[in-house]
Amino acid sequence: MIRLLLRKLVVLAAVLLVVSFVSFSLTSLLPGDPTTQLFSGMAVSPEEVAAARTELGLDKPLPVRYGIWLGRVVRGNLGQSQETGEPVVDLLRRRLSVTVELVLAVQVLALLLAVPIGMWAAHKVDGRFDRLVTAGSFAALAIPPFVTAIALLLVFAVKLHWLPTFGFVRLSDSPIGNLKSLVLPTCTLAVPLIAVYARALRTDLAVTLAQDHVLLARAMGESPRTVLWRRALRQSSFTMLTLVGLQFASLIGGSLIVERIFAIPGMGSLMIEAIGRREHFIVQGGVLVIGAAFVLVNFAIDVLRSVLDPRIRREAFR
Amino acid sequence: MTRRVVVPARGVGFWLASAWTSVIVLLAASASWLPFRPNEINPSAMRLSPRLAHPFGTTRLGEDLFAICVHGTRVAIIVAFGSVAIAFIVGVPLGMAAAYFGGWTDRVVTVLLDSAAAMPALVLASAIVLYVGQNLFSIVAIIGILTIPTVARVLRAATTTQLAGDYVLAARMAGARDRRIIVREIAPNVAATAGSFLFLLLGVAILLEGALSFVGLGVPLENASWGRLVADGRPELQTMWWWSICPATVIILTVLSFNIIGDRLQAQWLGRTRERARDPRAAASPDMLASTARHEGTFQRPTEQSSLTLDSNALVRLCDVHTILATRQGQNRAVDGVTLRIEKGHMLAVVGESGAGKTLLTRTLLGLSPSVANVTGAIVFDGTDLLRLSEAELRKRRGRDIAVILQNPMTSLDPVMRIGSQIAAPARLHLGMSKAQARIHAEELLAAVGVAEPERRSGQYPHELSGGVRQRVAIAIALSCRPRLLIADEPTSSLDVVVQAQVLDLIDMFRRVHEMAVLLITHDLGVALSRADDVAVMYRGRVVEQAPASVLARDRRHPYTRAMFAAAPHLSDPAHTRLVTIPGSAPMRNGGAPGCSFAARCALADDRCRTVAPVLSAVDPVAPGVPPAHRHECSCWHC
Repeated sequence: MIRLLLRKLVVLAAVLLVVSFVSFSLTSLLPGDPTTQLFSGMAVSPEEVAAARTELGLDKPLPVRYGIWLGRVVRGNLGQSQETGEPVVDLLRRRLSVTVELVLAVQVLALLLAVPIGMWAAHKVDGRFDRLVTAGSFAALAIPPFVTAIALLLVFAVKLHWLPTFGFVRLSDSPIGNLKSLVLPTCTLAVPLIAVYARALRTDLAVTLAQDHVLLARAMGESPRTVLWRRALRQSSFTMLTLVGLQFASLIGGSLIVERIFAIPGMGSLMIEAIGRREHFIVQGGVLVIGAAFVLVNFAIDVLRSVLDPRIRREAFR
Repeated sequence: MTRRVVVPARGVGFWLASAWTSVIVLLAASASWLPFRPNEINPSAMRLSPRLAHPFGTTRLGEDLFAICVHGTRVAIIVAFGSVAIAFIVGVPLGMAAAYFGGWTDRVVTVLLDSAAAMPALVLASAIVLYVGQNLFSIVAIIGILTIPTVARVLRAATTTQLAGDYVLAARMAGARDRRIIVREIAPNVAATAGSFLFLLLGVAILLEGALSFVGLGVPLENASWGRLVADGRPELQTMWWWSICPATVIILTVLSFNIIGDRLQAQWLGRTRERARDPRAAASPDMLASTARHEGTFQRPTEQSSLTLDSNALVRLCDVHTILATRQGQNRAVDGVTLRIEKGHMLAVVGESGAGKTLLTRTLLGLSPSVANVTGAIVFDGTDLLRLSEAELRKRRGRDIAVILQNPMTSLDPVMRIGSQIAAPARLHLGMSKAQARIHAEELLAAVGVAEPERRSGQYPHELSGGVRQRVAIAIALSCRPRLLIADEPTSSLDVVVQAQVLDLIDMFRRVHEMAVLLITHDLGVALSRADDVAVMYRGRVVEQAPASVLARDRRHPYTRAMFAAAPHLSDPAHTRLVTIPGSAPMRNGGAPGCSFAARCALADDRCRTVAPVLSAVDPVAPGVPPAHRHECSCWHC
């Protein structure tokens, strides 16, 4: 177990390193460099630009610059916004808290609905409810999030006036307002996830329920409900758990659309603004934070899986 | 026995999806020759709702939305197929190579793929679009590149699965070279997974393009795009709903079509069928008789037919039990009128080859037959007809009065539960033991079934144990509540010979000590004759011969029993004795055709055998005083 954990940690470190390098070099893809932004609209001589580049260390080769940057990142310094001078770390922290709240709300809502749906569908494979779930999940996966968002807005905000059309109220300002402003974005993002999770759980549950040890449990007098909840659910949830981790990436990507439609000041909208304004340090830092968060969450889920499934420990040594 | 894969019906959905996809592809190919002008501003047709001339309505400027959508098919199709092509060209070799070569190649590729998955796709896409510029080609390339890791991941997983297949090992041992193995052996099998996955990705690509266009980072303005139409129409949603809704519907239908096609193809290629998931035997029925008529021409002899039901000393009596499965091919009379009895402390062996209905008989006894089964007759356990009990009442008896050991100890134990808890579970459920009591109980049981170090073992998981120990654990579970009837369904078939004997000895010991009745299900006539008190031979759902084991050991009447006995090797045979086989194979389904079920494979079969089914009856005239348990009965016109 400890050897397995160590090996996973090595891979984790390697992945984090690659992620950081990609986030760093991503900005060299963007047209111009920090000096373009610095001197925009100013009449400067090429010498002055060159001097500024030297001052910022931009004349050094990429690996050297990466090393310097990484050294700063480790100490929690992601640079400043070129426009406002605000430290990027502060900016990200503010925006990230919004996105994290949204993403967590989505995951919780999706799992709360997907687990019972998947279990009910697997309980009678190919029954009427199962077919309904299959059809429904196809539909849910085919609807683009921006369409869901528009539809929800039209019904609940415009027609019924139950919820605000857009805008975001911070939790610290008003918990109820915060909840209200999150309902529609959360529902929008949860729709495809419910389909993904429910299908994964249903498929794995159907396989588990057809196994001998489930038959044995029934033959020894356990009720179908006990078998489903106590025995089958845990060992059938591994695929779903893995998907929960993987969905964090598409959620942050998907939240970009939703944040735009509902005018929520989260990471997604920050990134688009930053890219548009050529804010190199914000883009770098943002991609790094999103990437690292994704990697760490998936690492945690991986560890959770091996805690839940005693067989994994053995497989790792094969 | 060849188990043919039943191809699932593709269904209406599949054909509708294919039709829609074809229409979209055709429109994409021919859009520029069609009389639709997407950019024509028409002041006389502004803000029109959908009508015959403008099926999707018009925009604020009088542009025809239907025309724009038709032209939008091009962007959708080019982006979808172009990006998926890029993703496959790079991702397929990458994923397959990683899985095939393993080691460092795999590690490096995995780290790269994990890193790529961590990148927020839409953010990356936006950044790259701003850098390379908004044109159709760059959008295709970006979506393609972003899809590579997904493709590589799936292909890596699929190849790993294939590599575990025996045929790849065989090719390697035969000295085939790497490239040959990949191209000839693995690629065709992986292609099935990749092919169906391709359609899902086409849908994803269209959604991504829509999202990019929606935020204004999609294809340039001169290309019509569905996603942008939705965005453009959004401010006018309340006044001109059709502007957003019509193109949104087109996107949804297209993605839905791709998903349905992908799903159905996958179902087909994997041979995954709904029937097989429900009941393997019911679906896998290749050559079936057309007739489903019930017992036509069956001649019922009114003689001692109910001899066993009269006797009341037995703990368990099965009276004319039928378990009929409803399948697509018609009904399958899997258990077809079985009458049996087991006395307290006795062991009855039911012998038969696969498909004889033995396993379904045990499931019927437990009240756990599949949902498609219709059970009739009576199963009297200690004076109570189990078939008349409610599910809740039955549940109280399962595990407590009747327990079971299943064939394969590798699958019959819960893989993620410590064995101590598994043994304790029935005792906690039925005897109301506390956790601590049950733990001690489990350890005692483990010791009783001959497992050394029970304290340590009870904390282990099944995968940490050998097959023999697992079956001992399975016995411990079954004995947890001291059942009065133990059903052992092929308890030794998957064990090696030495362990087989040990397991049977163990069952026998508990039978004697606890006066437990045992129903031993086996395909091994030798085991049945040497272990059981009474033996019943089953063929196609019916008992064809039954007798005390001591009688059957010297006197076998039914041609099937004789053939089965002859087919087994005997130590007393001289060396190089040729083994006899039974011609043909047992049909997988009993459709209820008239006549003796063994007639098709029987050397003695005549016209009567083929038209009228014989009934189980005493082979010799029975003296009135002989108890039923000592009778020898056979259902054959020739015995």
